[in-house]
Amino acid sequence: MKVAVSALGPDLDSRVDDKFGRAMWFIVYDTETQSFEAIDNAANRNAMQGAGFGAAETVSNAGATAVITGHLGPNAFRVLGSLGIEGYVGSGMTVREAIEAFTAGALARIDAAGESHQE
Amino acid sequence: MLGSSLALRKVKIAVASGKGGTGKTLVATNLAVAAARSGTPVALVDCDVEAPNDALFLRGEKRGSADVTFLLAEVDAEACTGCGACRQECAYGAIRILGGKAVVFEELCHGCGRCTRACPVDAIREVATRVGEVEWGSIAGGVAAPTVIDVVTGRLDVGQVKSPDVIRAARKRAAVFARSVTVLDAPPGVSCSAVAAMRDADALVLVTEPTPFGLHDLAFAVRLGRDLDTPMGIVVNRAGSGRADVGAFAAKQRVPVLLEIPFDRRVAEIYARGGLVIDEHPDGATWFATLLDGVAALAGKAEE
Repeated sequence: MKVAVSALGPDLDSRVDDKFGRAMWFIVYDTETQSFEAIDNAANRNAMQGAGFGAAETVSNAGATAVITGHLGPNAFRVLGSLGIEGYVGSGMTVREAIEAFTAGALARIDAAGESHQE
Repeated sequence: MLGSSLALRKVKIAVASGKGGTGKTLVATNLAVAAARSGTPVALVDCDVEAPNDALFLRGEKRGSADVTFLLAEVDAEACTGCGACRQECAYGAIRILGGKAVVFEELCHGCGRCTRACPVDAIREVATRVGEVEWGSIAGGVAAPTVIDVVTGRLDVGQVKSPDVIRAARKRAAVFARSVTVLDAPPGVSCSAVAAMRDADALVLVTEPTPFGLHDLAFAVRLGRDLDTPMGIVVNRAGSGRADVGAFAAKQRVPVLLEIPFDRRVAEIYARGGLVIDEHPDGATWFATLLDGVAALAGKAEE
């Protein structure tokens, strides 16, 4: 399976970005091949509106079936839910640590939307 | 008499402010009364559609109401091939391809219809969707004697975001009445909705208070007035309540101060009980006659 991690940088040693829609990067990690793809989230990060929708589209089209982030805004939460993509909390970890914790089943699931971000 | 000079043609006066809570409604309602009393029929349009309250002060007989709708794009998921042509066409990022199908996000859709034309398989249609309502009533005689005030209220539905659509619909309704003077009570700020209320006005009345916040946001409103190329004047409300130097700012910007309403407990008391300062405060009639003169001069400038 593929898991998308919102990240502050483009590699596995970057920190998890607590924001989803307005994350810096997405690291899409394939647990079978143990390879990853880094996607720059600039288009959504800088969008006036609809960052959550756009980021959900990005990770869904990259084939992810789970996301690891800090929290999900109401729009992202709703869309990911409708696509059957589950969210998990990886705050404070590196992407590598978060993926290891995720595969070990140690991450908490996000089951409510957090605050929306607009800045 | 200045009222008569206004009566000769149609004049639109927008009462706006950068900061909220400075007294736009106070100024707009009392100015409307002053204009009506000077002999010119008035339409007052409450463009503060997220919190309209002009009708609390000018209670007319209700004449009608109408839904405000916009054309929301709706995708037929059966027919959609997920090609993404609509997504490319949408200027607002309102369409995303999710699970191989186009999905429209209502909050972002502006109802422009470009996606319906871009779709190669005719899978998108436009559906009229309610975002608010416009209500109108009329005060003939009474506080408006010897003329009339039509009060048009725009009201955005809870949870909706398309204030500009509701404001434009309210202004369109008011235009039907074809009154000599239209007073537009704008929403606070300088965003799309404020622009929708201020656009095509002949004069802007910018209401502020002498606080740092009031002055800071007034500067934005003046910039917007310049962009809209509309003559403007300032009303300082609660004069004496703060130490920000609105006068110095106004002089530097060459925007006249049309009126100062002092920081007076009686004004707050009259307003709080839904009264009209023009009638109930001993200086009210003088204040709003002065303002009407100033506004007539500004509107005259627009015509030159």
